[in-house]
Amino acid sequence: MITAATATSATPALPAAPSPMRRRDFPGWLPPMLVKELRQGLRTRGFVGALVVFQLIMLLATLMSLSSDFGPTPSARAANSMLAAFFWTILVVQLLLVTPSRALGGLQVEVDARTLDLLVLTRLNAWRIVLGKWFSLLAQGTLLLVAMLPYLIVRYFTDNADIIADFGRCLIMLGVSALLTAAGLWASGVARVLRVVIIILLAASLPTVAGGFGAAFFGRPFGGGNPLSHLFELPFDLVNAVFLGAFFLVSAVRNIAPPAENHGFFVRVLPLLALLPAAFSEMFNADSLALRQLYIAGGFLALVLLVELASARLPMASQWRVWRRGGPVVRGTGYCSLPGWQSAFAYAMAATATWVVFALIIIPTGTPVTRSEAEHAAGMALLGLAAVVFPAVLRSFVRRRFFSPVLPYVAGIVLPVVLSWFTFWLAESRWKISAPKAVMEVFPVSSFFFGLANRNPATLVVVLQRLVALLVLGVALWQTRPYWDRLRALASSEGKAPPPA
Amino acid sequence: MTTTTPLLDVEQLARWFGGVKAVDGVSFQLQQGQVVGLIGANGAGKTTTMRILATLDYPDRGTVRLGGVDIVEYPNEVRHRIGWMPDHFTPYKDTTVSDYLDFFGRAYGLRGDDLSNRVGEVAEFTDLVPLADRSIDRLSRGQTQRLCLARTLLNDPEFLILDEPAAGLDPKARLEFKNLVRVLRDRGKTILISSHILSELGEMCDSLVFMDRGVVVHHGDTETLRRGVAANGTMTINITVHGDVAPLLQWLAVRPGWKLVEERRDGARAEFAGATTEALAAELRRVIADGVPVVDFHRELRRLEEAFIEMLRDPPELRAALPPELPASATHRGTRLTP
Repeated sequence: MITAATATSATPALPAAPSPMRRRDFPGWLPPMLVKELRQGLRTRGFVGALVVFQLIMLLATLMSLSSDFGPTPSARAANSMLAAFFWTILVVQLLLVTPSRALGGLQVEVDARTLDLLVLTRLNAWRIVLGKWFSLLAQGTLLLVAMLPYLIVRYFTDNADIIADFGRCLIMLGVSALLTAAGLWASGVARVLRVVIIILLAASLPTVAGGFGAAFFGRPFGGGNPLSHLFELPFDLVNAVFLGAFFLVSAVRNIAPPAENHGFFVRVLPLLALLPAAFSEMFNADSLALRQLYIAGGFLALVLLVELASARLPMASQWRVWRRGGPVVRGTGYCSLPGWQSAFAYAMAATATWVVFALIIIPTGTPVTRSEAEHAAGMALLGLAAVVFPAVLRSFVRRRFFSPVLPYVAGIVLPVVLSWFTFWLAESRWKISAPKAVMEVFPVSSFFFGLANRNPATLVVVLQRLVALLVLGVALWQTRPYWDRLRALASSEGKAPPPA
Repeated sequence: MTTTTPLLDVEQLARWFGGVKAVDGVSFQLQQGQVVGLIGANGAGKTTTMRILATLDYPDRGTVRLGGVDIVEYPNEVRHRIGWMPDHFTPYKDTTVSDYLDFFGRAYGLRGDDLSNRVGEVAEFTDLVPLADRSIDRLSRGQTQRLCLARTLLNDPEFLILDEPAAGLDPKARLEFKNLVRVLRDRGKTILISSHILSELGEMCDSLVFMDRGVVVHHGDTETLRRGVAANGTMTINITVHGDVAPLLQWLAVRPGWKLVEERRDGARAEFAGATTEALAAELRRVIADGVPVVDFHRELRRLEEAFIEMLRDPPELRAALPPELPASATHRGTRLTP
């Protein structure tokens, strides 16, 4: 209802008494998105209910443990085992399953409610939205972890548990949770079908990820072995986790960012940054560490390329403007940072070349077999590059009106893998049909896997593999011409009306 | 309408979705402090146009300038000047009215006393203070719209875009909302409103932009539109007599062109349709000179709905017949091309 006072006054009068609209629950310096998510998250029945139920379970288990005999009696052991089992199960479920699962709906809620438009018009940008959601989920996970810590101390008295080691494990779990939550946020903003695929992949890789982190963080710092080498590897693993987490987060940001924004540079610089620890290790003659980091960076580069080359977007004038006015290096970086698979292809060439240079320096010093190993790695890099570029090339020939643009891309990856597996099986079967296998050995994508499996293929096969790979790259280069023409048109139309799409 | 530099200048705006031209060469201008209604059937391109103006979508062609700044090229520079109220509202879960406004206030960069003062002001303006602790998913439609308007006003924007703000409101809430718009206009806000309820737009707006199939078919003030000629090219006057209706009936019997509209026990109403204002004036003089006891006469105003329907009758072949150098959207600059 409009009162006469409000309807006629030029500026509404300030409320004299403390306004019921005033909120004092969170300080003003906290990011708005974090405040909003915490307000919502801490009030959800799921969170409150889970906290109460977990506390009740732990309280019960603790009482049983305390009421049992102290000492190495079977009943005491059983009670202590139960307390430990509940403690770790609750943490694993909450940190590794529930928190990442909640992230899976994080951005989708905003997309479905179409509230992103409202947020974009405020001073919040996509980064602040994603980071606010991420930190909020982690804060809630941390809150639950803190609520569980008293039981850690109880276990020290009842079970002689190693508090330091267990606390370290809790922190590791929180780290893994942070990574999975970031991945969940990324998945939450993509198309539904793709989300399902990502969830399946994440679920499949969860044991590996958890195991890897477990081995990296549990075993080494607290287990046996050479402590000095562990001390070196631990920061490397942390840095790699940070790079991977940053990749997930920036990918989530891209899912909700307005079309005029370009986050390509940030995504594409991460695999190159992952090479720096390898160079650092090489400087200090830590060859095995350098070699390990080189392959990790290679795998990371492949993942980033697969995502980047899947993009069918076209550059906008505002995106190119920030690079166009710089020198040759800045413009070159811009060419490799714009949206679209064509720009990603330019980046792929540059990044693979960088990786090969690192490989040619690191591998000869890191392995007994020097020159041939380095050459093999460089050759595999060429086949790998052709493998990740091939689906994008395939898609560039398919008209969008006939297929969804994702279909030919996925087919370009999946089909060669399936066919190579099938032809390999045929060749190894009792029928010994090896002709298809010979074809698949030189076919893009599958040639990479055959190259990995067979370290010493015949010279002719190697030559053919590399020729086909070069052919794929040549066709890709040809197919990118309209993209660069458009970029030139954007530059020439700067300040005028944008050219028709 | 003043002749100063327009606050908003939309020029040849086009947006295509695949092969569908949602907006095709739309051009219009808004002056500071104007309230303009955007009218069109579903799929006419209203929301697409509004989303582009709110920097939420990008045109395939054309320019939009807000205060001289190209919003397509520099969206971040103008966003703080724009208030956007979409036609839908999905409440956040587990959020109260005060939480909601506090969050958006923070998101607009307000902190401390500025935040609480501004939230208090807009809440008071929209009469949301008594609902401060109510969960927003328990608000009525009218309260929800007031909340949306409060959110839109938090950053004190000079240009407000309201997409179907009165949709689904009961009469009381509609009246309240109309009053709020009136107050905002008095405070100098420039407002673009889309709605299907044309009569209300007519009361609220200084001018109306009619859109049909992605094209602006008319842009002018409501009075001109309502006083405008009908589709058959005639204007109408309406007279009323009280008491004895016999003199009127006798007079009507001998005057061609007049038509009895309504006959009651205590009077009657008749109308005359003429092609020119001079003809209408001559008929009025004649009916009074002939002694018919006229107690009221007025020029018949068309309802906006009628005007709108007539606009939609605008045959596509007419647009196709336009010379190539004169795009269809240019028709809004003057009087609509009448069939």
